[in-house]
Amino acid sequence: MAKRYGLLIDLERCTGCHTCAMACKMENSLERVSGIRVETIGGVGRDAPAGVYPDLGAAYSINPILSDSECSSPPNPEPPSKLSLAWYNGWRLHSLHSTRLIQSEA
Amino acid sequence: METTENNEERLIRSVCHSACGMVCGLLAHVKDGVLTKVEPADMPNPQHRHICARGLASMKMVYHPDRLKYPLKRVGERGEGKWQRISWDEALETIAARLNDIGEKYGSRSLMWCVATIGGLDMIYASLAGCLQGTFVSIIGDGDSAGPCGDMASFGVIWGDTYLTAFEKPELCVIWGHNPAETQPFSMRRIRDDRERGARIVVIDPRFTATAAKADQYIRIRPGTDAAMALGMIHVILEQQLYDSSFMIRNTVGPFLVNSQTGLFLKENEVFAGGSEQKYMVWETASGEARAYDAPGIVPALTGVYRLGSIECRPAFQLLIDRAQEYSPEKVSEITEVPTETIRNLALDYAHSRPVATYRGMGFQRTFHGDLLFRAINTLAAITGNLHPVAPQLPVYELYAYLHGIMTCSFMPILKAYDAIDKGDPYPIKALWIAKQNWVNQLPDANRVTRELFPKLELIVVADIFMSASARYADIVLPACTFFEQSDLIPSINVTPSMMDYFQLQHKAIEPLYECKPDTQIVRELAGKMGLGDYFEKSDEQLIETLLSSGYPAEMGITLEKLKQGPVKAPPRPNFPSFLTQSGRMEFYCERLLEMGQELPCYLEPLESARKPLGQKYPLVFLTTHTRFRTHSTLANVGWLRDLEPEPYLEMNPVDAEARDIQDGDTVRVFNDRGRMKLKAKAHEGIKPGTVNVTQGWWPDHFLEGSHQELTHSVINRAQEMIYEPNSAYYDVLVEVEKVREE
Repeated sequence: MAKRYGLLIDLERCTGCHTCAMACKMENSLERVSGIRVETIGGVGRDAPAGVYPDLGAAYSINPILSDSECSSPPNPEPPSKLSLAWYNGWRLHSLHSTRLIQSEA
Repeated sequence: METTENNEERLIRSVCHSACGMVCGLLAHVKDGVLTKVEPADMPNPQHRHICARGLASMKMVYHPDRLKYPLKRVGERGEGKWQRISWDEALETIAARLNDIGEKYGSRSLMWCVATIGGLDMIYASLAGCLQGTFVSIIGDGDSAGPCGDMASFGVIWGDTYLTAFEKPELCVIWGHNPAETQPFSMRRIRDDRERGARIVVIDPRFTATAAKADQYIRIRPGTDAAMALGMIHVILEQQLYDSSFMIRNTVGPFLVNSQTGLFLKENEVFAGGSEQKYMVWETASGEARAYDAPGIVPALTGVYRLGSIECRPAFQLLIDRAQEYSPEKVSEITEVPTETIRNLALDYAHSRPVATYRGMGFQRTFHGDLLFRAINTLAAITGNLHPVAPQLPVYELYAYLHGIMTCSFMPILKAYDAIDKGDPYPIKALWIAKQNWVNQLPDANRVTRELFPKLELIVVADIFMSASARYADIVLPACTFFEQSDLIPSINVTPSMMDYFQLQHKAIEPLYECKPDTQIVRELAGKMGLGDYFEKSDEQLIETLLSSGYPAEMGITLEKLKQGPVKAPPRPNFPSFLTQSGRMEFYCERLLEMGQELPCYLEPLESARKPLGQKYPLVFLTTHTRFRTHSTLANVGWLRDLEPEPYLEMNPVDAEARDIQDGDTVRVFNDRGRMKLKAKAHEGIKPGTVNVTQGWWPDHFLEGSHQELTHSVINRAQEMIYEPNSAYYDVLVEVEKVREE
């Protein structure tokens, strides 16, 4: 009986640590890609802020990057099941962003 | 140790060795003897069930194709990379013979071990050093001893963070030179919890970090000037009389009289014949007399100048007031490049908020005077009563006491080892064994190390899991185990409130791969070949029992049986003193540093300051901060993390880039008199103009040329040597950057 996993991420607290991206690799035995990409909302490039001092700012967004078709044949002998990836902004449920694939556990 | 059976999959508890200090519990999934997955292990407090990208990626070290698989003997020149596979017997017999020869020729102390670990059993190398009466390096000066010197002077302990942070509901959190969002993610959780309970978060840093991105206020400061910032805040608070006098009287040396002539605390025997030579004296305004500080009902003066016959004296607090006079916000603004109003407003906020949690990082104390900035910040917290007056307890250090049960070795601070190898000062070192440490990559002045130090060594042994930058210079390389392949006892490293106050067992999850051996086994077998086998008969489990059989764990009833059930919380000892200084109080006035002129906190310009003459040649301050993608040089070769950060890059402000005709992505050369490195540049607004940064831990291979440690220096700060241990001032370095033009 396959479980379905979801990620509930409070972007107010997200520090761009990439642990979710690593966990996706771990669950799916993915070597070179992850089903999740952490992106900086700010300047150009990872962790670069927007603006000029003293008005600097940066935040992070969590993005599923594999399409369903990509994830149906990952380098993983066991077929993955659906993952509901949701996030909420602050305390209010913001949007159910997407439905993507992450391996389930037996 | 098997904890759960689930078909063929076994779940085994381990502990993350990423050495950020958090010691997260890990649950290893093992199928048919193969590690298939790791996840965070359950902890007694569910909030402590956590893991980060490094902890997850650590699994990928185990089956990495570059693992060292069998012992190697050097056949070319040192560093040339020519090796021959040899048997363990040959390796250990060669090492045993060489250690005996060198010990006989130069004295046993010339044999040195350099080991950096969070594990208890890895300290078996100190037992070996003890048996041979050799030298064991204290590695804390690898960047982490300046702040501890400051805390030792202030509090009498080396890790005083809980004094400044152990508050339930702070109104203000000042995060100073610290980037926990990357370096200690679970400390960041606590800070975010504080914010959600109403705390205002202020980050002071030359870089706009991931932590700064989460703050209410970001203050950009010139690197190495934080002591001036704190002293400027002290100036404002004292000037406006916003200090907490009852806290100062009860918990600090503030009221204690200091003899103006000698600079020493006045003691009772100097005032009354037959008085105690230990008792500090205070001035009682009501009677107009000097009395012992603990006289019943006494209300001591904190300010003023007093006369006792021919002796002029002042309360230490008055001396602080006098010192703080020198640090007006205007002057401090000129030093720190922080606006005067920002300094003044933060000082007022600090004084009016209660409590204030002050988080100090290890980054900014990697400046030459890093001890002074900790002392200045500790003093700021003290005068506003924002110190939690309970001494932290560090059972981790007591554990190692068992090692002295055999014989004692000589301990040597790592920076002192440079001169010992180079100049025979205070005695020559001729053999070096490095384990779980990467000297060439992680210690300062790599060119001095490889060109001047290592050639003076007659034997270099490195036990590692990869052919590290240091292993390349070895005569014999021994293939060691990852932490998944060996058992250990992981003690509580509870030095901040977010850290884990548990003792944990790290169970061996899989058998050692290839011909790799755990360090305990390496030492046992070597000892056998040196005729010391009797001292090393204990199994790993017996060694763990030995570690638990004395000191803190014995007192607290922490036994192997309990640990086999899961992590055991390390409770504080009852009736522990507030401060472990000589006075039993917080000492912002440190008698021992009188001869350095540093008895009070003060600001001293960085050793390599762009405002000094050297700045004409090398105008940019060079930082080597820590990243979320590695811990030190560990994990730098793990693909899972490299995919996220494929190569080193030099962060620089667009102003500095444009002045050098450098575009984002250009290849640049970074250099000073000591060395150079070549890498890509990344120009962005998140770093202060005049400052450049590359995250530390990259291997020399990852740079286009050179490495970051070629640029750093090994200059010793004598004040730190007097208090505790001199630190490597990695962030007190000047460089110049130039664009590399295609030839």
